[in-house]
Amino acid sequence: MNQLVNKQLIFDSFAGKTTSLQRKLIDEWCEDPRHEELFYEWLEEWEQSHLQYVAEEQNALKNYTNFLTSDRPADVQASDAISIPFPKSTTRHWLLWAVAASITILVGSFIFRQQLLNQTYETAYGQTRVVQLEDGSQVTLNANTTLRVPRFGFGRETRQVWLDGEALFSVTHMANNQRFVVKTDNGADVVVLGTEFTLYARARGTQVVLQRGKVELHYHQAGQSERQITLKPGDLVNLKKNGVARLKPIPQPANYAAWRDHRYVFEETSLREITYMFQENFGISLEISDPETAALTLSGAYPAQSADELLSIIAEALNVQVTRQSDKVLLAPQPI
Amino acid sequence: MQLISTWQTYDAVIDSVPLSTMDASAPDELEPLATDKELFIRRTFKTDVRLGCELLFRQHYVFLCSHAVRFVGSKAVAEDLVADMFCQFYEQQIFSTITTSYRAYLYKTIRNRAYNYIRQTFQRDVSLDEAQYQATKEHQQPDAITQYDELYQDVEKAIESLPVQRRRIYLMYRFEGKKYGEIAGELGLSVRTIEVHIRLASHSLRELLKDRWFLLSIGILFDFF
Repeated sequence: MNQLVNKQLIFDSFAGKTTSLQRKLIDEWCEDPRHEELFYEWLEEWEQSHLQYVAEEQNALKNYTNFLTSDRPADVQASDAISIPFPKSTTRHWLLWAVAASITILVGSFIFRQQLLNQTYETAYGQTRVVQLEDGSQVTLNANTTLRVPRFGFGRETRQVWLDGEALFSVTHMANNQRFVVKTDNGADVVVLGTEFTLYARARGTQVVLQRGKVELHYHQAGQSERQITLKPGDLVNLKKNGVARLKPIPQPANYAAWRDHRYVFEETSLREITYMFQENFGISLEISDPETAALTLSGAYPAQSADELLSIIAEALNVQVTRQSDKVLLAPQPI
Repeated sequence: MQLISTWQTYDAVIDSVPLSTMDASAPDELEPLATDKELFIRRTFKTDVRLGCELLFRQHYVFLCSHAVRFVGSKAVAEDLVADMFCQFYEQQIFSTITTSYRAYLYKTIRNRAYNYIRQTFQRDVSLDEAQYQATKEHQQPDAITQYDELYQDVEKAIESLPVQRRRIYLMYRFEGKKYGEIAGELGLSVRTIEVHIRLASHSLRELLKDRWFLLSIGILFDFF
């Protein structure tokens, strides 16, 4: 075997000119540490004679020597025990400290009781996040969204969470048929057993789209007692701020969860509506120069990783001109 | 004392390599020369660790970058990977624990890191350009030494297979690290066109590579709809 494996063959292998049988020979040959050494020596030689580019060395070296002299581990032997300096505590004032600490804890827990009782999950503009709950349910948060989940007792007594924003819920059905309730600040609650749905609850209103299973929407109409609507898969319920609910079946409920894959689906969506979405999801305010432009509509599914990308797609599709100003973006018809 | 005995073992190893394995085409003078180089650095490590690291860096940096770029396709990423490896080499005192030559350690490690870098990139199923370099886990590696060579050859073939214009744009962006705007200016195309080319190029590279290298790791998370 040693007769077959030589420098020429290994050079050929680096250059991709060997068969799989030859590569197998090399692999076996390299199992001997002495041969492995030779392999890397030849690899270095080959790389030196087949450089891909010459890396700029001076700055990198400067950074490295800075790193070396920044005195992190120093030249201590690994076997040396590391002693951590411990601040000497004074025992005299321990009572005072204990009182101060308990007051801090009391005040702190009152101020932060919401945070103590609830685990809060948040997403920033342009960000999505998957949250796994203790009962096995999964919640995918869209951008600019807050989900609060109780730290104690969740899944035992009740399953109740709060949502501000937009999220896709995939709720696990429990053996004891325990209900899962999503509360919103808009006074509407979604009550489910086990199912998958998207819930949108922002300042503009509330919207539920059911993907699978069955959910109930409990809401209050102004001045009236609580009402409820039961949704079937593919149903969309839109709850306006004035408390009027409208139910309509939609052909593609999955489109309402497309944001999860960074896809944006529009169906005859006007540019005006798109501006709301930009404000809510990306924190970017779009201003439209004239009503005609605002009324332009867009259809189709567009994958986009960022607000910029989505904006340039929309600009291209609707043939509008995009001008950036410090805190807003202007949309105007393309000058002819 | 521990260190010195390791070095002696190493010398013994090199000396005992039978000549017949090298002489096929390797000139005899190459071997002692290389050994001497490392001998000098090893002696330096005994007296001044920082100087030792610096010497190793000076000697290998350019070539390691050139090797790493074959895998990762980006100068910036390659240089990051190499620099990071050297920092760890000092910080975790790897120089005092290795039993191979420095050279073997450095090349072996950079190949492994480059492999892990692309693997992570593909696992998360985002385009090569958006991948953030994360702390490399050393434990994932191919079973055979030549698989690394196959991997960078596959990367090269995948890039070769792109249409000419797209390859050109992709290399400017990925390898040179130029911005969309710069490329658009140089080629007289719109930024949007550049974006589309880059996205399509990244996508086809991923498609070409994933079947062979990363098939198992692609997420099945979103198969529900």
